[in-house]
Amino acid sequence: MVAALWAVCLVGLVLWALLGGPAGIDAGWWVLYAVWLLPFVVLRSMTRGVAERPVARLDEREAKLRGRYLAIGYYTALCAGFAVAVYLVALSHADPTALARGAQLLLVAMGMAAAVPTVALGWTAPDDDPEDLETA
Amino acid sequence: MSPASRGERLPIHNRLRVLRAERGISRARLAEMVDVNPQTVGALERGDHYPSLDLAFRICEVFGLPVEAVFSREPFAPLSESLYGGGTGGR
Repeated sequence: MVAALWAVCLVGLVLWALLGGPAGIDAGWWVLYAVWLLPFVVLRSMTRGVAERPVARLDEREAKLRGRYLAIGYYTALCAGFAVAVYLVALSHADPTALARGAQLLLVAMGMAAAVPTVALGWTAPDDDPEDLETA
Repeated sequence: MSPASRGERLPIHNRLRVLRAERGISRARLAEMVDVNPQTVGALERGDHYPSLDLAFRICEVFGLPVEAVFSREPFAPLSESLYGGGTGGR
């Protein structure tokens, strides 16, 4: 559910940036951007144990898990950054006055690189097993 | 599976759940004894994670058993079958 909301907001942000006018960035776009980042912040707090602990304090399963999702973030950053660069080159020829759209897409690309590993981890990680918490 | 391995992914079965139950050790307690998180012990028991050699040795040390008694490439037979054999039901 959270991941679906996040994906819908992402599509909305990109379409808004691509189809919006050349006169700067709308206030509504910033609101949608904030809404888009909210699930990331919530999921980040839920996955903090794996995402933010120093690697020396992770066990082997957690370190492997973090490595896997960081790789996803790396490739997301690479692909999204490349797409924005191509778009900016094309835009500089077609309509150089609308570079704010490029800034919008760059913000989305950065947000994706940060959020995709967290969203993917939150989406695919199994629910906690109650037996893990039993102490006796 | 060790990160150094390649090719076909072969399963590693284990007897962790049975050994824990036999000795009355919770996942959390075992996790504390081998210095991992309880979720990792759960992942080992479910077969979602295969241990490194280091972790396998640490677990075996807790139970005082050799590695082959705790981990195996082949599924372990049920304990009742190991003790009483056969499985035909009659004498």
